[in-house]
Amino acid sequence: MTGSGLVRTLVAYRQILLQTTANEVRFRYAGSLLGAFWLALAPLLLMAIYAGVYLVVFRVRPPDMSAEHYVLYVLSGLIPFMGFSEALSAGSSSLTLNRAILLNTVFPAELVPLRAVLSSQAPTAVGILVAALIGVALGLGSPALLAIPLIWLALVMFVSGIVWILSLASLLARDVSQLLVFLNMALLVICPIGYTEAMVPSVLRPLVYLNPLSHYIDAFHDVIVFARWPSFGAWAVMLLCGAASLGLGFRVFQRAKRMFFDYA
Amino acid sequence: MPERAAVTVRDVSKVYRLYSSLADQGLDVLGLAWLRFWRKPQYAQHPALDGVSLSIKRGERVGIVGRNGAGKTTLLKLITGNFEPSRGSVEVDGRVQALLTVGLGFHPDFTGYQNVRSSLAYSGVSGQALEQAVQDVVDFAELGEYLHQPLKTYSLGMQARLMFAASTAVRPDILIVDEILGAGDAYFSAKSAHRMEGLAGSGCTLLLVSHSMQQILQFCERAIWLETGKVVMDGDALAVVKAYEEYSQRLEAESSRADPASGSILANAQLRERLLGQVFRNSGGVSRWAGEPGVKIQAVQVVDASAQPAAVVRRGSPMRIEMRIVAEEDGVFPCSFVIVLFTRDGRVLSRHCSTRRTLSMSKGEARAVSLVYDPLLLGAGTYFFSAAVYRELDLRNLGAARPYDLLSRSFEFRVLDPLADDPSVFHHPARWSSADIEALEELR
Repeated sequence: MTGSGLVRTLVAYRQILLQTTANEVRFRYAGSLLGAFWLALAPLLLMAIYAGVYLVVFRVRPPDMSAEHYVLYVLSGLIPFMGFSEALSAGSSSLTLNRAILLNTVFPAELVPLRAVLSSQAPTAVGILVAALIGVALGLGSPALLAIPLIWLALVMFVSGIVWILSLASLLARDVSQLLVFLNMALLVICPIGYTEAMVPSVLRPLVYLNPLSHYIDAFHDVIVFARWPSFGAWAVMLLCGAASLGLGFRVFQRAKRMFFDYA
Repeated sequence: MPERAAVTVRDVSKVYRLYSSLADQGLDVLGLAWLRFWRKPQYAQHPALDGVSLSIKRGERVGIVGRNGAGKTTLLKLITGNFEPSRGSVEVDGRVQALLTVGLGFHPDFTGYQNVRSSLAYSGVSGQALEQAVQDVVDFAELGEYLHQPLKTYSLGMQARLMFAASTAVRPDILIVDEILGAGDAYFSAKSAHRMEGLAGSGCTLLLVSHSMQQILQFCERAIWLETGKVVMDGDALAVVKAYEEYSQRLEAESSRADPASGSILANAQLRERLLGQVFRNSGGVSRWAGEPGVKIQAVQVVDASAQPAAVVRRGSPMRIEMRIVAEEDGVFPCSFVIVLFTRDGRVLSRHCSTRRTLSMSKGEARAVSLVYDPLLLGAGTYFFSAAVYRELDLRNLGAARPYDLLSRSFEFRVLDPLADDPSVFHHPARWSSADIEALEELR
């Protein structure tokens, strides 16, 4: 019932959604000299910073990995993480920033947070492509790379559901966006981005792997760095969390939106 | 078979809760107020709409009038469907385009052209229709070279032009407009009004909120008057506008007389009720504004060439408007007489003010004054007029004018033109001339 409502909305408004998402992406780079070139530049710069920090400053490196493999490992974990955290912050503030759309009747309110999520995925898309190409260049290419779209889709579903709920909550109190800054920082630490599973002390392992996001990130590691398919368990966690979050978030949003809009 | 309604509003109320703190609001909305069981959430109830019912037919053009805070915008918001009434139901049949805010999808760093496309993306048009709409906006906004400059380099007027053009480029089934007209200079205001007329005339259902009674009369055939969240009047646009204008004028008169210490007169519900009562007792064509004691208008009539009272007169024949006044008490009364003619869509056509005369009258004595049109030069159509007697009238300072009596837009007459399809509103006396008479002769 709920799912069909979402699908119907998406099909009916696919054109407006795609067009305005594209505009949203252009908004990001409007007035900048390099424009859309930033899409490719951002992940490379990011990689340079993190590679510098982890390899030169902290001097951490798993014993079984070469330096360039480790940099790729960090990059392929960092990019989906950034995708998640940008989607989270952009999506959560989307309704408060776009009050005017609530007064517009042509664009359904459900799509406002979703659009913010989608447009935040543009740098992620380019970043994943860059990471995958580097992997192939390092001789790590494999058929497992074909799993990327599905892993990514599951991640977007997962974050969309959360964002639907948080965007409503931040209509009531703007504290949400303040909290998210710290949540994002905490997540950065407890997600396996700069370290591998083997490097985590066994006491702390549950803390890392109770967090669904870790499984998405490890799946990216699997296909890009280790040239292997994610395990069956990882697939189950990713798809179930994605579907559950999406369904729940959409349902909550639909039921509660008109109550919350008064406070927009 | 009854026509399907475009908008049906059934017994709708909307109560806003104004919480004393954000924490109270958050917990109460989430239904978690019981978490703080030691205190009740504190809020004031503000009824923005209270038991409103109305039905708007397809293609009907409806104006909504009322003072600030009467609930006009709340009503429009509920019709857009994203906001929930506290009670009652709102049904909308058709695609709604709401011009409650302009500039949706605009970004200061985009060029004018990019902004138009970005904004039109929200309207859901594509392909050929999109290209047409873009061209239409470009033609209308007349921005020339600026179209390819970033929006942030525009003047406010230019931005307003582009936003207005973009938001009126699509043809929805139901158009909701909240006070967006009249942006820009005189030339552009006229052009905007013309564009709105085109939109309104394209067969869509129009809901227009405006404080300009002229706009309501120009665009709408029906009007709804909201007062403190209730519909106090719903009917023919002219009748509603007249009643509302009369009420506003009485309210203003009361508040200028009131003692400032007694608090806001606008918050005084009793007074409002009394004034509304007066307005509706009077209604029945004549809309009488509050004035000073002294003389009152007893009768007004239009008299045709044969000196008979008439509702229809012919262009080119003489016409008279006769006003009879009666004294309410013995005395000497300085009087200026005023007749103002309006076109059907509410525009002032001409204003005739007499010089000031001093009349000495005893109580109950009546006098007649006439305004003579000889010949009548108005074109075919229906005209309305107001009639008034002033004690003080300085045309350079109308704010200080003090009327004895003013009957606003209360009378009408119709003009027939000997040439059945002459579209002129006014046949101005003028003559052709040429320095070279022979040339003119040949021209014939």
